[in-house]
Amino acid sequence: MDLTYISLEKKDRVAVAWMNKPKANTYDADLMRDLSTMIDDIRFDDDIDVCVLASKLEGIWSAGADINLLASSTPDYKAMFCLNCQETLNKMESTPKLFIAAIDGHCVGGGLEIAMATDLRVASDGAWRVGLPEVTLGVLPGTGGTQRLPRLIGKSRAIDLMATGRMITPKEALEWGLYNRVFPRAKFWEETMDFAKGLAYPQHAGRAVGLIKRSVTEGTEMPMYEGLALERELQNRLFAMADAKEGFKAFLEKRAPKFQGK
Amino acid sequence: MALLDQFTIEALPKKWQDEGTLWQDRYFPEMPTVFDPPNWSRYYPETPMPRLNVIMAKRDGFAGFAKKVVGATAATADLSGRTWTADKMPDAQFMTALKIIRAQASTELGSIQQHRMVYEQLDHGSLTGFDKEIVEGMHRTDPTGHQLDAISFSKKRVCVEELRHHMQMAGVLTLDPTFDKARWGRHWATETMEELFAMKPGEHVLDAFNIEFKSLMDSATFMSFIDRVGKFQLEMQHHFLYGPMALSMPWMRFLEESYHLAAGETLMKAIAVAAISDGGNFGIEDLQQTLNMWYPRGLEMFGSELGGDLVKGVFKTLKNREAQEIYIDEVLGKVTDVNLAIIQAKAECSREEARAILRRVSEKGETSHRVTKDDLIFLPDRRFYRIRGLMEYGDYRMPGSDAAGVGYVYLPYDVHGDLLNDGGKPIGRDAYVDYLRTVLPERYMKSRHWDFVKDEFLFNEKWGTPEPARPA
Repeated sequence: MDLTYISLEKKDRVAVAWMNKPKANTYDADLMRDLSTMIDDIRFDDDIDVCVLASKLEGIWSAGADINLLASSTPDYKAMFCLNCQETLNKMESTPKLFIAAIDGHCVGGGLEIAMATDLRVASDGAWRVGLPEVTLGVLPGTGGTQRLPRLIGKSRAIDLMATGRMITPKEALEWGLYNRVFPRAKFWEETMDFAKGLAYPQHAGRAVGLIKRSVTEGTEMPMYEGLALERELQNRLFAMADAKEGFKAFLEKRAPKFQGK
Repeated sequence: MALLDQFTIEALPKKWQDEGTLWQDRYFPEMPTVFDPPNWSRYYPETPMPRLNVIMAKRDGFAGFAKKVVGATAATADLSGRTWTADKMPDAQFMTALKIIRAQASTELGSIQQHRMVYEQLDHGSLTGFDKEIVEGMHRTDPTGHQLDAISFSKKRVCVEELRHHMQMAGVLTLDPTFDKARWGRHWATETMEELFAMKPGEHVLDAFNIEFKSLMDSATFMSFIDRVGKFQLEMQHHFLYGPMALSMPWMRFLEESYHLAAGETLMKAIAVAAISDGGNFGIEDLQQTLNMWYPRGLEMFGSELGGDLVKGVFKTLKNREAQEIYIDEVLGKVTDVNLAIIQAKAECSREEARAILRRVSEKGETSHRVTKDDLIFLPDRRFYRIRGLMEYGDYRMPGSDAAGVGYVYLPYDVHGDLLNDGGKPIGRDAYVDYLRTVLPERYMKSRHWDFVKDEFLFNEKWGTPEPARPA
């Protein structure tokens, strides 16, 4: 795997993908290619249940797309770039493994759009900015922002945030349901990894987590009956696994289950 | 190995060779006089003529040059980690490389346009009153040197070498076809070359190359102080990630740039000696004002003192501030050299005696051998007349900014680095302009660059008025 701006560490069924493109993890085609390659790697790695997407840069998770690129590229290139970014994030969203954005810094513009394509967002309680200020550049959040934000926080708040371009704090983001957890900065990484490991084998039924994600992300975009059909289909797969049998048995025996991913 | 055997000599692709010729016909039509053998051998009998080609170091000879450059590490001389075709560079690195190459190429063309403003006057006997005084003064104080025709020919030689430096950058951009491969939908090598050839005086990337030369004092100070920044850049870029750019550095740095610096230093010393001896209607304060004008632009050529972290170790050997500090030490030495020349001329003494006199005059404020502090020049403080970011400006911030020292700011520092104030507050902009008129050349205060500074910085309302970053 040839990555320039992302380094991948794997331990105890949890992968940590560190973005490291100074000064602000602004993304261009190269960072997106790295992200796509990293997602492929996670997809095919049977030993990984959860991937934490984090930043190596102090105080910044990602500032979004490289404005120099947007200012300098041709309209055709920009169109292909946006398509490529959307497809990359769709790939992350449709991978039946959990992606967690671990946000210890500012998360704005396209950076927040990447974070919204992960499944859960945990943040530190620093004085960070959170928002989609693309309108101040005369454009819209085009890496899925206008679609994912209203699905996360509702249409009214989403339009407010995007149309004004204003910034909110991690605490407000938590209240709005945009962030899932906010941890004290001093213990941020410890809390984040505890949270991530708690969703992976052997502590948790990692396979069920992945299929819950798939049922939600894909099922909610379908008509109800088709969504329910997908839900049954995925549930039947889990019913056939030894993990489900162990889960039921452990419940009846009033003990903790020992999931094995089988 | 013979020196030339350590280099490869290539021609530019025909299209760009032809474009270059068109540019040269327009902005440097006197070039053939430099390549006229009798002319050349009259002024430089022992020096080979310049070669108008792209001259790259061979890979196996590169390390010998790279080890000598400022800030060199083992990696500077090691070519194994370099990228040899532009398409292998990720977007961010490609754009940074392009930005540096474009700036470098622009300076070469810009300086020809600047030098021509002076040598045309020398050739046509249309010297301004001021320059006429300087030339006649130099002849009186040093009758054997600094003849008009020699000064003019020296400037044209510098121009030829600057044009070749441009060819060198053009070679980096065009001899590797992948540099022009579509990226972000654009063909950057072609676009950049066309943009460079279209740049008129005043349109260059770096401010120092947008200031008109209005006097011999400008060209002397420029070659000694501004070309010296060029020397630093050429040395630091031996570390350049894109291999062909690194290989393009040794010939420029070690075989060409030194002449420019030496020519500037010699002329500056001659002007200084004339100024304090029998220079006619000009004095040392004129040279000081010229230095006050150029030096801040030279400092800014290193980029913001806050930057360069991402470039160090990838494109250059040092961060902006690190390189700038070494430069300041070096130019302090050049100021000392000028002062020693002044003292030797005035006190008719040896260089060692001149050093002792300089110490007494500059450190103790004494008058010694008729030399006073007012006879000498000094290096302005690095905070004086800066229009680009500076670390000390971190004490201040612009209204509405939540970060100190960010962006282009303005504060009224004097030549000694003191913040001019009125009742504890920095003086107003009109008052600062009044001060600047006393320490910058009168000719500069009528220049296009001064208008630019006024419009974009001093009186541009969008910058607001700086305020202390922390409550007092």
